[in-house]
Order: sequence, then C-alpha cells, then structure tokens
Amino acid sequence: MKRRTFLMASAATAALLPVGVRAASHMSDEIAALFEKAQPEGEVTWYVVPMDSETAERCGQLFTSLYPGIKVNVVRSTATVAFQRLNQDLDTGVANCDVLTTSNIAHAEDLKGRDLLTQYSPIRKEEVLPAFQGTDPDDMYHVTTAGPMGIVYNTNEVSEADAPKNWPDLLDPKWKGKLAIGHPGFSGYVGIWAVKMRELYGWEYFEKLVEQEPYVGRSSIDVVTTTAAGETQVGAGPTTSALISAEKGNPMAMLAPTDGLVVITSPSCILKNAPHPEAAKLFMEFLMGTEIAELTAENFSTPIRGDVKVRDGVIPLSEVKVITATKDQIITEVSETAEMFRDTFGI
Amino acid sequence: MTDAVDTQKGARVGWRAPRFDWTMAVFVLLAVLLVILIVSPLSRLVIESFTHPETGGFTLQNFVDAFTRKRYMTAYWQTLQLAGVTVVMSVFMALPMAFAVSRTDTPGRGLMYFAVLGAFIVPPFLGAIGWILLAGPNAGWINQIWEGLTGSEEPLFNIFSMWGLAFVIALNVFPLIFIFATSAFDLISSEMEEAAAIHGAGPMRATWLITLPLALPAILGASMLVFLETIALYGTPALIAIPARFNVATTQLTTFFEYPAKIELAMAFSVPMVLITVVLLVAQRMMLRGGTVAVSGKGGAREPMKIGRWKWLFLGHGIAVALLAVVLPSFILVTTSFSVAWAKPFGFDNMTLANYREILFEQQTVRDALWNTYTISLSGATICTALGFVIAYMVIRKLVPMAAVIAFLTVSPVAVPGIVLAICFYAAYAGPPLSLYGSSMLIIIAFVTRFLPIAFVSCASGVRSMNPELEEAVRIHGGGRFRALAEVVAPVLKKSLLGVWILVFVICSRELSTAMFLSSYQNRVISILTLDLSEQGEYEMLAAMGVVLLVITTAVVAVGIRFLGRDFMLRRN
Repeated sequence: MKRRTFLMASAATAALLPVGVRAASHMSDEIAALFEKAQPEGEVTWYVVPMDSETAERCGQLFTSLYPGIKVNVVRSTATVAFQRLNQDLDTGVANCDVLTTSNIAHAEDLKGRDLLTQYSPIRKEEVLPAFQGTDPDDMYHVTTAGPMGIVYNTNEVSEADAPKNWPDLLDPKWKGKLAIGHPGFSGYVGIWAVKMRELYGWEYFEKLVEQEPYVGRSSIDVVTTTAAGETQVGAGPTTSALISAEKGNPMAMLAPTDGLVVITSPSCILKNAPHPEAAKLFMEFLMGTEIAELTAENFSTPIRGDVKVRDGVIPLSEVKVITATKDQIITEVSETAEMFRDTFGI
Repeated sequence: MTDAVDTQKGARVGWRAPRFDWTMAVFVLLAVLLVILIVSPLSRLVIESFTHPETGGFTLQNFVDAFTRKRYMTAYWQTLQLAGVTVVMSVFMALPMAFAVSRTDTPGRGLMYFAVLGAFIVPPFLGAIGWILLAGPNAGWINQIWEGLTGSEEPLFNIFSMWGLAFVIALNVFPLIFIFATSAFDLISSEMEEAAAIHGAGPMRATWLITLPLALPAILGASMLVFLETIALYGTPALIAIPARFNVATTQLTTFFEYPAKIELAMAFSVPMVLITVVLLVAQRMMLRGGTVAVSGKGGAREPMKIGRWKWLFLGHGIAVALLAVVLPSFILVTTSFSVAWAKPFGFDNMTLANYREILFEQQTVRDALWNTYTISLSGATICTALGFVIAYMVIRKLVPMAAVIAFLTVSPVAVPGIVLAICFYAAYAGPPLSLYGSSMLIIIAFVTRFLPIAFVSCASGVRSMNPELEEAVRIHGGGRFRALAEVVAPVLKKSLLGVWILVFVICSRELSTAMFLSSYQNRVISILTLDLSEQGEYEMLAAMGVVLLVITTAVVAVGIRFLGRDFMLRRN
C-alpha cells in the first residue's frame, strides 16, 4: 500500500500549508470553487454499497486528503439494508445521508420518482467512458462504479481445469454442499445476477441451485471470503473482491463465465434533504474523478474512466462476453426475483 | 432574586419546620417517566397491529397477512423447534454443573463458576462467530482436524444447521439455568438427602428422588426463560440461519423493514411472540411460587455430598462445557484477530497486527461505534440503576399511590422481546414530532426500558432487606425522605447498586436486537456494526473488534468482582 502512504504524506503536507495554496495543484478552477463552498460544511455522509468496507473507508480518507477539512462518514452495507436505512431516515424526517451509491439502480429511480433527489450535472460527467454516461437523462443520478460478477473458486481445492466454466456448471452435483451464493434480498449485485440467470435459464436454474445446498451469504462479498476460507469451493461473486483476496495471499481465483460476466453498474445520487449539499456535490465530482479511480483500480476494480491503468489480473470487459441488465429490467424484476428466491430457498 | 434569598432563609431554619410533601410530585414524575418509557411505546404494539397501513383505520388484515403466508408460518414453527432444542441442550449443559457446584465435593468448582461467568460475558454474536470459525462444515477448525484424523469428507459437526444454531445459543444462555438451579439447590437442606441415605438410597438415587424433584420448579422456570431468550434472538440466527437457509421469526421480522417498511405487518407478526412470552412468564411465576416447603427457607445444614468416583464425571462435564462455551471460542477469536486469513494454519507468515491497526487507527467507523457503545452503556446503566432504585424504594415503602400498578408497569417490558421493543420504540419516537432516529438518546431510552425490570427487581430485593427503622431514625431526627434515601439507604445498599450497575452495563454493551431498527450511522453500536461487517464475512477484523469489546467488558466485571465478591453477577434476581 505504497499509494496510501503517499496519500497520507501528501495529506500531512497539505495540512501544513495555508488554505489558499492548498486548493491548488490537483483542482481545476471549477472544482476549487466547489471546494470553497463545500469546506465550511465540514463533512459529508456517504451511504455506499458496491465496495467492501475497507476500500470504502480508504476512499473516504482519500477525499479528506484531497479536500482537507471535509470528513467523510462512511456507511457501508448491502443494497437492501442501505435503502432500508435511508427510508427510515426519510420516514422519520431525519436527514443523514448526503450521497448514496447503490448497486441497485431501482433504488435511485425510486427516490427520483418520489422527488427525493437533487439534480446535479457533474463537471466531470463527460470525462467517464461513454458507456457509463447519461444513465439518467434528468441528471438525478450518475453511474460511478462498475463491478463484474463472475465465478470464484478456491485454488487449494479446485484446479483451473476443474473450475466451472459457465453459470450452469455450478449445478454440477460435484459442487453439492461446496457452493456459495449471495442473497438477492440483501445484495444488489446478487439481485441483478439472479435476474439475468432467470432470464437466461428460467427459474429452474434456482430450483436446481437449491438442491445443491448452497451456503447463502447476505453480501456477494461473503461468497469470496467464505470460498477463500475453504468453507465452500466455488461460488458466484464479485471478481474485484476475489482479486483483493488473492493479493492478500488467499487461495482464490476467478474467471469470466463463457456465457457472460454479469456487469453491475452502480449509480450515485445526492439526496434532496442532504445536510451537506455543497460537500455532496464535491463528493459526486470526486466519485467521477481520477484519484478515486486510481485508488479503486489499485484495488482491482474496473474503472469508469479511460485514463486509469487497470491492475494486472483484472478482466478487460472488451475481451469477454459481458451481460448487463437494462434499467427497466432492474426496476421491474429485482424485487420480484428476490421474493421468488425467498420462497424457493426458504429464507 | 428575592425568591432565592427567601428559599435559602427557609432552608436555614427549615430543618425543624414541617416540610413540603414531595410525594405527589415524585409520583407525577414517575408516572410521566413510565408513560414515556413503557406505556407509550408498548401501546404501539396493539395500536399499529390493528391499523390499516394506508387508511389508518381499524383492521384485522395485518393479522390475516401475517399468518396466511406459508413462509411466515414456517418461520414461527422453526423458531419453536429451535427454542425447544436449545432448552434441552442448555439444561444438559447447566444442570450437572449446578448440581456439582452446589451439592457435591467435585473438585474444580470455582473454575466451573468462572466458566459460567465467562459464558455469560461473551456476547451471543461473538460466540456465533467463534463457532463458525470452529465448526464451519468444511473450513472450521474442528472439522479440519477431524478430516485430518479420519480422512472423512463428512464434517463431524456442521454449525450451519438447526442443531448447530441451537448448540451455539445454548452455550450462551445456559448460565440462566445454572443460576436458577444453583440457588434452588443451595436452599435444599442436606437432612432430606440424609434421610434418603438412612433408608438405603445411594447418593445418586437420593439425588434423583429427592434433590432434583425439589429443584424442578426452578429448573423449569429457568428453562422457560431460555426458551424466551431463544425466540427473541436476532444476531446468532442472522449469522448462522441465513447461510443454512432456514428462516426464524426474527429473521423474518427484519424483512418487513425492507422498503417499503411494513411496520403494521411487523407488529402483527410480533404479537404471538409477546403472547408466548406472557404465557410462559406467568407459568414460570406460578411454578416458582408453588411453594415446596423444603426450598422455602435458608435453614438446615448443607454438607457437600461425597459422591466418590462420580465426581470425575462431573468434573469432566464441567471442563467440557467450559471448553465449548468459553475457552475454544475465545481462543479462536484471539488467534483469528491476529491472523491474515483465518482458515490458514497458524504460523508466523499468517500473523499480523493489521486487523487491530485497521480497527483502532484506520477505520473511523469502528472507533465511533466503540465510543457510542460505551457512552450508551454508561448512560443506560446509570439511568437504569437510578430509576430502578427510586421506583423500588417508592413502591416497597408504599410512598406513592398505586404502588402495585407502578411495579407492574416497571416489570412489564420483560414480556416484550428486544427486537419487538425496538419496533415499538421506532414507531413511537423515531419519527416526528420527536424525530429521535439516529440519536443516541433513542437507543439509551430503549435500553433503559428493556433492562429496567432487571434493575428494579434487583434493587427491590435490596430495599426489602433493609429494615425501615433506619430511615425512621432519620425522620425522627428531622431529616426528610430524600435525606434518608441519599444518606442512609443508598450508602447501605451501595454494593448491590454497583452490582446492578455493572450487570446492566455489561448487557447494554452487548445488546443487539433492541438496537436494531434504531441505529443509523451516527448511533451505531459495536453489536450493530458487527452485524453490518459480518455481511461480508470479514471474520479477522470482526474478531479483533470482539477481542477489544471482551477486554473492556471483562475489565469492568473484574473491577466488580474485586469490590463486590465474585457472586455479584450471577445472583438469582
């Protein structure tokens, strides 16, 4: 983690300099103007889903080091839990959340429909790859991360040759009791994955899957940790987490299924009742900027910008078959699929 | 200004003059407090469950919705099975230990006592994490060793099952049965057993025919408490039942909170849980009251029974339970907290301090949660003890009108499982007009309500043990009630008050289900954060957090033992 040390050092240096000088090098004038307005607010609260809590905390620290004086409160959970918390905030009239980054676009769309979001057109919105631009024509939310779900396996137990090659391979009886999946009622990633599996292979896919007696984690990240531990041998999980785990020395590998790596794009939005509206805008810029893309790319994620180098081992999306859910599909089918999952799996 | 001077003058001469009777004021204050803490939130259970979610009118539809879905009913059925199995397991763990400690000459009784105390201190969710690491079917340490020894692919013990879940819960709740059973055994005089011996019964036969039946009401009563604890538990099922793919009432209950939150449905779904609790509590009271004369007094000599070779069996059992409940989970938590990857073998390349650095220095979230946990526990324990003491004193000395009603209200939260209480508080205070959601205050008052019965009952037994003559002496000499309370009663009872305080502090610091639904990010406590982080299965960091929590809690308990003697945590009331 040399990068972090560097950031810490630069943060420490920055803190010693007078304010005027601080807002210099890495900021354009527009961002500097935004920073000036945001700084008095002092903090920003970020409800975040599509990354593990460690990475999310690092992103928060990075923001503070880039924009000194603004602390980030990181609240990481699964998509359903984040949305439940947010709705509890809204129902009780307590304004907590400034920026929500969720893996379930339906949640952002729902908030938009209830007129709970602030329209914001980021300065950097055209800097991201065209595929991730303009998800919402009204600028209520913007895609800020993209994460692939693939097949993960434990390399101590499973050789590359024996590893499942496509999604139906997970139904092979040899994985009975050795397979991990996440729960679409909790995880946004798993929700979208389940929608795509249902579309490709029908609900029988899940009826056969339950016969495999899978370990059901709440978060899709749990699939990786559980498989890395050897508790299960194969699973459907986020490839980013698998690569992070492998780098830590765990016996973990991942592959892109031949029938398609499921890519989940996660939007971020600013709440209308955000207690720190200016900091929220600056944070939105940050989410689409180079610095966070470098940090998360360092942690094996797939950046949404073209100007950031991808780590070795990360699957380039241009080289494999990729499947994505349409916005409409996510809005109409995720919660229905989760309910069907609950009935089939009993939980 | 003149007023203030007047009052001061009044105070100077007033110690001889008749005083204003504060009783009514105190009564009104108490009544208001009890309405805020108990009546208003608990009444929500009844009101909301009969309220139509959209129209706000009266309806039975919530009950129809809650009890016609197959999945919901299965959840209840599995909860009852789970609780039944847990009761049997915890009786099996606790009873031989209680008997050995209380009635026999088994060696190592002090050690057994500490094992029970240890089991009581370990928060349920930490015990669950410890056992996932120990007995996960493939990677758990016990199963890895088993596979190494026998080559068998089949796990020796699969934690992700109904039996596994019941076992983990039993290891956490068996102290309840131990406490009740030892206090019953302690009251049985040896004369009865001697009489049996004279008539030719051996020690085991005497125990079977005499001692056990005499203690039976207490054991059954405690079993019911275990049953209630089990049906109300959320953390352990979330960690074990979800991966194992079975639903229990509490995991089902939380899904009603998913957006759009169905509070009314959640309330209707909770009603049977409360009813079961009320029925069992009434039954428990009747059993403990149903006076068996032999256990009603403290008279009679007690001699530890000489049980010969049997004592080794009891010792073995005690050691086994201590290993399973305390030693193994703590050991695995400590080693995991220092490891890079928990399933890898211990060794220098798998050792790290990174998990501790992460939680203590890197992650602000964890520090905030630790800070919240201890400020909430400190305030909760202090308010709870003070309030419990004042109410107990007022009620027992009959200083306020309607003492019986007040006493009843004070203990009534006992009948409401923590997770249901959380929903009640959410409905009552989270939203407007008070909008307490996200503040520590909300969790503090919910904890106070939840643990007030414990504080009240403990304080009441202290106050009862005091002869009123002491206070009368103060009054004869012209001191007021409050002077008596502050300068005589409280100092005399200070040890038992401190005991109550520590007990409530410890259970506050580990409480999960009452904090559910009331936590936003600002008032997150460690138990909730553990649950959040456990979603990702990051056990190394969770273990480090658990170790920090255990170290602090154990230190507090150790201070208690130093000042109050080792019995204070496990006294029956």
